[in-house]
Amino acid sequence: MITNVHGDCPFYPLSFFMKRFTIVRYQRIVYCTGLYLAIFIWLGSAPSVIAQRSFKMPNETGAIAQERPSGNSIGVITTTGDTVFIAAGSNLNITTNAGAAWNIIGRSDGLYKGSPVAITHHKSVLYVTTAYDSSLAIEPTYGVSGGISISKDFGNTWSHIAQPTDTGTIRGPVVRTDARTSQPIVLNLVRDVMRRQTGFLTDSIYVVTIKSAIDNITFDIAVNDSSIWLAAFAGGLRRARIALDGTIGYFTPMPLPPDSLLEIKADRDYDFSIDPLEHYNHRVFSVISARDGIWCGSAGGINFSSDFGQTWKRYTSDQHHISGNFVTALAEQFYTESGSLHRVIWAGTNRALSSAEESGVSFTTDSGATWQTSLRGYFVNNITFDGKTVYVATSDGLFRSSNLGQSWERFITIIDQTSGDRIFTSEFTTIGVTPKSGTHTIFAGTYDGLGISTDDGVTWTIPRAYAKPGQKGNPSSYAYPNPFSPKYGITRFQFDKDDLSSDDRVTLSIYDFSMTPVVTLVKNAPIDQTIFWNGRNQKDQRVANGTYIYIIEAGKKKFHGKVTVRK
Amino acid sequence: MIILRRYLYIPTSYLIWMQWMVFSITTAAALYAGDNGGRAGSFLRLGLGPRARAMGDAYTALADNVYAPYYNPAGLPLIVQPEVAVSTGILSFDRQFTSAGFAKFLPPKAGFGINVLRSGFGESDVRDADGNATGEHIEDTQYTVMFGFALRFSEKFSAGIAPQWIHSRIYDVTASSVGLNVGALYQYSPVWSFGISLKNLLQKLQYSRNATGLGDETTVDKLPATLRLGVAHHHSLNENFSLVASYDLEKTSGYTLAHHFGAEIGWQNKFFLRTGLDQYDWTAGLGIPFDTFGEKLIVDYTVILDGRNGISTVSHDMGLYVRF
Repeated sequence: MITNVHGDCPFYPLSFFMKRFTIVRYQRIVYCTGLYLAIFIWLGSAPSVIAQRSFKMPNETGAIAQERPSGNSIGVITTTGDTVFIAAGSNLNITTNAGAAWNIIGRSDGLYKGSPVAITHHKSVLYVTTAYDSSLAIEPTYGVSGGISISKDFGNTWSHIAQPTDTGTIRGPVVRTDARTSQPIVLNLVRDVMRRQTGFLTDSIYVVTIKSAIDNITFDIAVNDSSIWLAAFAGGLRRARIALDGTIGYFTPMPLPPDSLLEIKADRDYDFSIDPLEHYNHRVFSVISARDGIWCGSAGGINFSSDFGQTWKRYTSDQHHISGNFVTALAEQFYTESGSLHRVIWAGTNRALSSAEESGVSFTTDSGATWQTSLRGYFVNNITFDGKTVYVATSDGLFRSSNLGQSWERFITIIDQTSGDRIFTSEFTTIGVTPKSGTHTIFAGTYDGLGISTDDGVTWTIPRAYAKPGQKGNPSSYAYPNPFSPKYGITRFQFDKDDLSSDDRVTLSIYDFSMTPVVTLVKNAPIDQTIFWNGRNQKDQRVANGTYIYIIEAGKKKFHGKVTVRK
Repeated sequence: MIILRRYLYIPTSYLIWMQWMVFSITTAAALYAGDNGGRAGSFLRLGLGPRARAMGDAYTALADNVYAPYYNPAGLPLIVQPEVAVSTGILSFDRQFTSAGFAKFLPPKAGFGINVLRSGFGESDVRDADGNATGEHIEDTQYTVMFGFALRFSEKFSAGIAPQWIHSRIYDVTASSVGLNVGALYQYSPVWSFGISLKNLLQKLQYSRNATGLGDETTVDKLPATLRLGVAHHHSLNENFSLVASYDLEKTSGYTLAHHFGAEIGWQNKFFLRTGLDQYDWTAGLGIPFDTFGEKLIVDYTVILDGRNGISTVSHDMGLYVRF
């Protein structure tokens, strides 16, 4: 049993709970804040459907297979059978053979701009939401939703739905405080749509209109036969109906219980607004369409509706003993044991505001009647399963449990045995596992690369993305990222290996401006060894800010270049 | 060496010097693996001025020109004529180094000088974590201004101080700070001089940036203080030829000892050939005077063979002196 040796994730304070929206670059929101959606799609929610293969290999679609993913910052992983969807490098990456080949789909293929944030599919229709940087001249910048990209032909062509915003007759103004400026802002309330679309009878539930895609980012998406559900942070929970001909209707803001209530019903009279600035429970991060209904995670707990949103129950840490109210991930697990099919709802329930809360996982085997918690002390980013085994990606490690959280195994540092490359972060953003009936491959996502294991985590490969040196305008050698901060990562080196044989050896040394040797990173190492620098000198002291010279001697070839340390 | 002694009188002391050089080179090579680069202020450990660099950076006991604030401010009162100098380096690996300076004797017993240095690298591509160039570029530039002042306390002894201001810009962070160089010079005889200098005292560069979106974080890069002890020997070989030999022992905190050797042979005190060993780098250069507009103009050139990078690159340093 793992004991709690860490506090809640210190990397990203939940400042948007402090009556304000945190503004950071959207990639940090997406990749580095623990706001990763928990997408686990159980094809049709039935285990028998999992083996169905809907997506084709690149050579089947006419696309050219790539050797490696298109990026090293992994935002989300979704699996179905042996097909794995990964958000990396602003592209959708698809593999069906445990990462041996990749089909990369990007903006030029019709995917909307930005980086994929949520990926799901339903009956061979693929849904991808994206987010991008508003690129405002001033810092900090704003994350903007790119809406929903939809493909009905395995990613060959795409249609697009803009991020839903609000329309309707303005009922009246309401004054809120803008956390960025601490200035009062006037927002508008509408009610017409609410009553018409949701079936709630009350005239007193208003919607604070969200008319912009800024901060209105869909972190999670769930699709079933009749509807699409979006967990859109500032945009709250939204639902659209799917007509029989596949047409997607209007995305309606769905009323979730305000912070003062644990339950709402459509036939009751209420007086509150759907307002992410007013209610933590209206800031939504995760949603799944499960066997028994819709489960939705917010900054105020877990919400469940078994009747298409007419009734909502809310589960909180203080009333129902989930570990925390900041619900970044939701997933539905099925497994067979002793001839019986079991179902468990898991949630990444992290600490929100109260010191009584604690990050961890919470799970229920009886549709929310009772909750159990585990992995306390770890900020949970994503959850997935392979049968009874649950895998959890946290901000401080990757964990696995085969006994419903009674005990956990922690994966050790992920190192590529062949190249020597390794993942230099303990923060795992996402996790995907293909089933034992197939390749049974573990895909571990971080913002420092993707780890792939086909032997249950004993050994790993890290298919690292890089621009090929000496081609397409790239220099014959370079360091990346550049500049880099030793406080937050490392830099790696690439050089042109054409005309070099596998028998050649490589030496790489770093010098400062005065040509004083700083460190020799590798000496007569194998030519394919990954070379990285942690910004330290030969005495393991952190070097000063500045630009350094690297010199590579590889076989008969020599390269040199610059790398900048900016802590 | 014996053949050379047939034509030029070379004192025994010089043979001792040469033996010491061989010993030190051997020692330096043995200590090479213990070098510890990467400390702040590496741009101030390159040397300054073509004459000094041609003499292996062994200049602490010779600093009697415009570059005294850098090597040893105590040399400022020894300046005979006002000097203006500019120099520029053509350095390997896209390094950039230029300087300008002015120095003047202040009667009766003082001297002052100012040096302005610009150092850094040419622009680099910004690359993201996937290896792609973003289109942005990295600027890495440092400006250093030294203002030296020294007093001659006796015919043989002088001491000086040179506050220095550094402004550093690295991509999107900047830092500025003030530090101090101090030094003393002792002219034991017309032949022997000894110098001591302490450089980069109290100098640290503080860079702040908002790396995480959670507020500014500050990193402090403290420049390691450097102690230099120097000795120089002046000798007339005959009526036309003079010889200067110099040696500096350098200790920078966190670094192994460094040795610097230099030699300069002059003809009629006009034309000069120089060579040296700057720790590991062989250096050589020359100085040629020109009479222009009634002013004395000296052109200096130095070539430095970078000895530590394994690929034998060459750097050049060129400078102009004008003595009024």
